[in-house]
Amino acid sequence: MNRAGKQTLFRILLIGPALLAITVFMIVPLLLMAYISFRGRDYSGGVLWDQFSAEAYIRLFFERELDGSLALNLNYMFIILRSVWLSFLTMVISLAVGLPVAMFMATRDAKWKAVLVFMVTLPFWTNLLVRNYAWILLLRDHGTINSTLMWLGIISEPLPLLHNSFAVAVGLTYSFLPFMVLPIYASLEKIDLRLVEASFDLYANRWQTMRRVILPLAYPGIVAGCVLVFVPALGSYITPELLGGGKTLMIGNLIGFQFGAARNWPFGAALGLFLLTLVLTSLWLYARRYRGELEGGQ
Amino acid sequence: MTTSGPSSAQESALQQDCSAVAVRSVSKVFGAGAHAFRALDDVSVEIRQNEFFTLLGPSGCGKTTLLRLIAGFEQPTLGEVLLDGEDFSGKPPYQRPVNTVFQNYALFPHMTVAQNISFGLEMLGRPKDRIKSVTEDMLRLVQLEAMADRRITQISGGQQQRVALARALAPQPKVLLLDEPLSALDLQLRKEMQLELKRLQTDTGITFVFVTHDQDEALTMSDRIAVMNRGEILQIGTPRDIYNKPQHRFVAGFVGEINLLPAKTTGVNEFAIAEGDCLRSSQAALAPIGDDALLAIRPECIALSAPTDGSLAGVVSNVVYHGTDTIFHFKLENGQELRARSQNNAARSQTFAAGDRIGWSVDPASVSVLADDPS
Repeated sequence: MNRAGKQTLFRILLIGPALLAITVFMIVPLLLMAYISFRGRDYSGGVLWDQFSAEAYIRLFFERELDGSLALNLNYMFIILRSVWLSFLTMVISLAVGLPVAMFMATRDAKWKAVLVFMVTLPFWTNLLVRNYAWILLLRDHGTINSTLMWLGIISEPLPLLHNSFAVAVGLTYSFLPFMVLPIYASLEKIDLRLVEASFDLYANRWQTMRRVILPLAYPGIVAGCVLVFVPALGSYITPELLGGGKTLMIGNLIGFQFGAARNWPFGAALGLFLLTLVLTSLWLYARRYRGELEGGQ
Repeated sequence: MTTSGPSSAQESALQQDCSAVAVRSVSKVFGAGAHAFRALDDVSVEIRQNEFFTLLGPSGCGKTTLLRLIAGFEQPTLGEVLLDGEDFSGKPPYQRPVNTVFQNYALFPHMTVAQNISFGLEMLGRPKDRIKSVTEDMLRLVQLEAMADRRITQISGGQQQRVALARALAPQPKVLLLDEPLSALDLQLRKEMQLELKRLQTDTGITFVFVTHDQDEALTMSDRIAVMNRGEILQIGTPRDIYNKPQHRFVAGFVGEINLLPAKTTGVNEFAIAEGDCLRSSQAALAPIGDDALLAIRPECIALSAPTDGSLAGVVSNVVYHGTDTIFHFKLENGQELRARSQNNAARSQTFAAGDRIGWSVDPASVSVLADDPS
């Protein structure tokens, strides 16, 4: 074998494991999901593999009446819309809370920074399920928050804190806040402090320096944080399940339901693909619009 | 801009009398307890209006700390800093009529060249049309009109240097602080920028405070130089004073090449460098007769000749040819080695070889009497 041929072989061997992993764990399951979404539904669970059907996609928007005609049904769209809205809310609250936290962390000295980063990642050491149950203990009618407020005499009736959109937003924000803090912290920490001094030197006060120098330079981190919070929040399952109490369904619960109790695998697969398309399209639109700015910020 | 009237005229006349920058008994200590580091120790200096003033010293001598105290990035532990006679102690940098050219420029990477230059004017709340015209003037001043809309990452190091300069000059500060602004440039560009900086200073009439560790740069550009070491100012003077009449062993050694000669004081301005060999200086001795003294002579001030009776004598040990001049290393009888620099001139070919006996002499005006450095 000649030299060029050896090099090609070497390259294939090196790239092979990664390629194999991506194929087996990502491409094949996705294709399988797409395939299932176009198959007939087996009412006892599973799929009728030999039967083509677009019923799952029709079901996203329409309901089949008893006589077989289609009627518009936007219930599923409402759940998807609510998922987008709750995820967006989670992202905004996480940004409002995470930015000051990241800023505080980035301005400490090296020893403190290590401790603070550890503290931010600390919740990951506990199971998500356990942490969501902890929120139930805090938010329920006779939970820590309500009983404290009642003991203080601020309220006489317990506030409805659990099993609503509020509880889901709180839980999601709590779960995904670290994904906002860490990328913003990373981009803030990279900022050359001399730029801040230069801004002060050129008559910008603290607020102006923040708005004109620090935030634009932290922009890539802020974008990364928003994506890292919004995307997983959109597909979250446990938090709306536990804190929403079955009343505040999100798209993740809907998908889970189709593969479980409803025994409608094709519809579950179609919902999953719909969510994936939604996320990828919005990311692509965003990237196309802000490409210039993202590249400009170093 | 000026409000007419006798009071403002008086005021400006008054301001002319004040130093542009007055640093009074300033000390700066970083850290505390056992880790405390005294970066500046009781430093006082008056920088005049429209002066090109240089702080010269090795790294860690406190020159940058002094600059940062004037800019307001640090506050003095003791003492006060006055700008135009006004006490600015405790005021943040954005309230001081002072701008800085940073060592690595610290240009805003998310802005264009023009946006960088207009930043200070915007923050001062100047009217839009004025910001535009001043920015254009500045771009012309540093010859970067064609680059106005480029991003900072798209221009060369030398151009970045000019942008940093234009950005700091645009708000028309009373004092411009320059923190080793030329150190990142290559030699050729550095030489050009030295002349350019001097031209800008003369044209704008702004007081420049320039920090450098490069003695050539300091001698070329400055009206006055302060030589610093270990948090203290050792000598302040014109470049000629600093070069020709160094007062400290450190100043003599740091600025240019010099011969140091240990001697004994034998008279008011007479010193014995060896048995029977005497040197006179135009400067008076610093210690009483009989005490040790330290003399300094620039190599170019020593004249060599054929040995004659009564002249000081030595033996050439090495000859190093440098193109424009030749350095003769020679030894005195007591083993002390000296260097003499002689300019090469084809018409006047006075030359010696290693091993030759020679006579040497020096003008008393060229013999400096040094104080030992404070420790």
